[in-house]
Amino acid sequence: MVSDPSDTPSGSSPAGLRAQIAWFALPMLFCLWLNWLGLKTWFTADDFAWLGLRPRVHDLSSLCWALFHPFAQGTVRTLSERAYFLVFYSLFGLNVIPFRIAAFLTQFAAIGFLMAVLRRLSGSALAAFLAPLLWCCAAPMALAMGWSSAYNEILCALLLFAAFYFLLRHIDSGRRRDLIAVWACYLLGFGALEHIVVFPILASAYALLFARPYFRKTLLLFLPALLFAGIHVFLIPPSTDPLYQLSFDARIFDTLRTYWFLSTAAFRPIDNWTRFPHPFGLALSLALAFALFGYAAARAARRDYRGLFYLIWYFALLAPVLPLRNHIQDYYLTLPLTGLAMLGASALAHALKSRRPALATAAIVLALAYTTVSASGLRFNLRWNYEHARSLQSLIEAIYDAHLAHPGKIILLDNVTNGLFWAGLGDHPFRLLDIPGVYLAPGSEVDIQPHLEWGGISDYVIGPSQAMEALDQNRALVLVVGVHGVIDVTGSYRKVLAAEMANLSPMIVDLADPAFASRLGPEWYSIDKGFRWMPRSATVTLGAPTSPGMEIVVTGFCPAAAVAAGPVHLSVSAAGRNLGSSAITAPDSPFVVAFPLPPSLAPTGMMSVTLSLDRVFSIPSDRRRLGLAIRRIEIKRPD
Amino acid sequence: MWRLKLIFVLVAIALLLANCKRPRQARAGSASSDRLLSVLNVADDSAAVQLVHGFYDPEGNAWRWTGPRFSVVLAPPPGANSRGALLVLKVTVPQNSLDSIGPITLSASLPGLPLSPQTYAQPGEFSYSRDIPASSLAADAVNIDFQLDKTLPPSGADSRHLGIVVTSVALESR
Repeated sequence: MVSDPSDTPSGSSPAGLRAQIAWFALPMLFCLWLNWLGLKTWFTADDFAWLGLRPRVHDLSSLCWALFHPFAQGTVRTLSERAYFLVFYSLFGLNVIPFRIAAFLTQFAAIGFLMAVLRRLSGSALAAFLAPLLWCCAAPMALAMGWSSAYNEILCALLLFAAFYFLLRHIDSGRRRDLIAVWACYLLGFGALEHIVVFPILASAYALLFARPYFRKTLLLFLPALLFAGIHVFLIPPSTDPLYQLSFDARIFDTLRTYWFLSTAAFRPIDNWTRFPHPFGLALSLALAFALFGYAAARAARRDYRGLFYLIWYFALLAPVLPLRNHIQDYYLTLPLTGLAMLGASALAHALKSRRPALATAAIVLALAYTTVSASGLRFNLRWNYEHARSLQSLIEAIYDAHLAHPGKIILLDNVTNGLFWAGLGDHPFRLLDIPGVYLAPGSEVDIQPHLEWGGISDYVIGPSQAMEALDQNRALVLVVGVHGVIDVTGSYRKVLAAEMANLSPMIVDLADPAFASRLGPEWYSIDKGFRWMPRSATVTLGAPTSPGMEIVVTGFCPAAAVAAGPVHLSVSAAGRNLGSSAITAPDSPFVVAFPLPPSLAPTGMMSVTLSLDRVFSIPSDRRRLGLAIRRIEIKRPD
Repeated sequence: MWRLKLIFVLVAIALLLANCKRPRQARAGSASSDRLLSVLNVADDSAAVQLVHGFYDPEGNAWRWTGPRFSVVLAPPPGANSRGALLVLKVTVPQNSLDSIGPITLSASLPGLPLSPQTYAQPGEFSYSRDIPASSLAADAVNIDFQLDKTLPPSGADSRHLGIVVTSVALESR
């Protein structure tokens, strides 16, 4: 390997020591400056699920369960998720700052090891200095730096670089203690993130390219990775979440293309990743591809394979997420981007030292273009995450205040958006604050996508009859969630609900309200997440139409699985008369379909209405045959 | 000496962090109002409780897109139970909606009272206004349902069925 010790800071003198400290510290300070908002970003989404572990730990057995039981797509990230949240929540409660300080310190340590590794690999202190700057200003880093649940990414980066650093030291020194450190960091990595299984590939690729005598020794590293993979495949049930379904087909290349565009700042924060980037982004991405691959190829032609090794680093760490075509996440690039950062920094340092002004200028222009665009995207994403989390924090604190002011009352939330719900409410933050009985205002739950795979929304659903009873008995508080905060609308909401219920009469069946149970046939499944699932056929009893020209309106939700094999057809009959059929096509979407009642249909009193489907489906771990999730069936005038 | 400094710094950090785990005190709650509104600017927070269903999130601090069906609950204005009232729904019909799906027909109804529909074939701002007889306004609160004959289907990252843009809805005195 070629090394240039002349530009490596030396710590042998006080001035050298100061230079070395500055050399390490400046990229860390740059990271802190750039990601400052991430230090203050409150909890969102999955954070509450992990925070919720602590109240469930009472003894050694429950502690072991919390630390080692597979959760969330079968993962067991004992260090980066379980221990991290258990320890910090125990010490600091819902104060996010200590969580974030720990994450930033971990990132600083990862930066330190990255610099040490690259200085050793490239022999260039300048390249080692530049690499963390390029890494830290990458737009996809926003979640890793601002979301506590993404701590696994940076802890894994730290352990990966630490393991590799000690591997390099072991190769240089032959010392046994360095080899022990390699194994310690590597094995700890399994408690951080599954990506650590890539480490043996990186180690063996390095040994193959640069340290052949150690190649056989690196093969031993595959044993824990294979054992880990075997446990995942054979002992942990696969995820039923369609988002996490693995697909091994040609579409992997589409996913790879998207990740490349994300890696090279081609997308603006507002862009749709399923499309091609805007012209400037595309040009930047192509220019970076040309420069990086060109540099690696040019060096390889001179038998310097370090550029090639950095590309292997990038693609090997990206490979585990490529089959997840339904779940492309920019923060999955946290680890792979270190490969591009090492490559880019090496290329830039090489260009600056080349004594070719044109090459150096081109490299600087390209690096500035990338860092400017990417850092701008990073700041945008950090700001978005921060504001989103702050809204959630304000809402939860307002609800907590309302709970303290009105202890014992249930709380009904109106106007909760789907985004806000799944940003945190879905993971039950109120359990952490000992606030029982928080529900969505009756009817407002239809605006929330049920997401059965995430646990659904049933815990938040309350029927209008129950809500009205609680309001009448002064046991309920209604808060409307607005843009500018939370407003207590208990009095006015009671009138709104009364007006809605006055419309109910026998002409409606609310499937999510137990009060309507007596009007349902025996076929219906129990209330589930604001709906009732119907099998192939199900009946309800409705009041007969009071005048000609009315229609039956069916409201529900169509999961993707129901239409995976094409449209599902919903047929309706009333009082023995077939009213027709309607095709439901949109996956994971609410639907409303109407069936006109013929004028000749004129029974009196109540009548039986039957809903039928031409196809049902089932999901693993659920023996039921499921059709559609129905929310409401009503007879009304077509307006 | 440096050990003392280190201990001091660690203790200070620990105290700082421990202090952050503070019990919260109840703040004064927002004022509660029992009064229903007769006029709703749909983007206002105070209006949200009376937008029963079918409205998407407010945009531009001024309007909301609707779905194919949407409902509001309004308080009849003073004297409406003897003189009746005027229902006024202020809408905007975007050009791109008309280009994609053609003319849009809006209809409305109160309980037991269908109102005549209106078809919009030109883009722009409109008021859908209908007389409501006193007999339909006897209660403290009136549920009003609206329906569109067609909507823009979901496209790209936007999974919404977009109907029309609504800025306000009101029951006005006559």
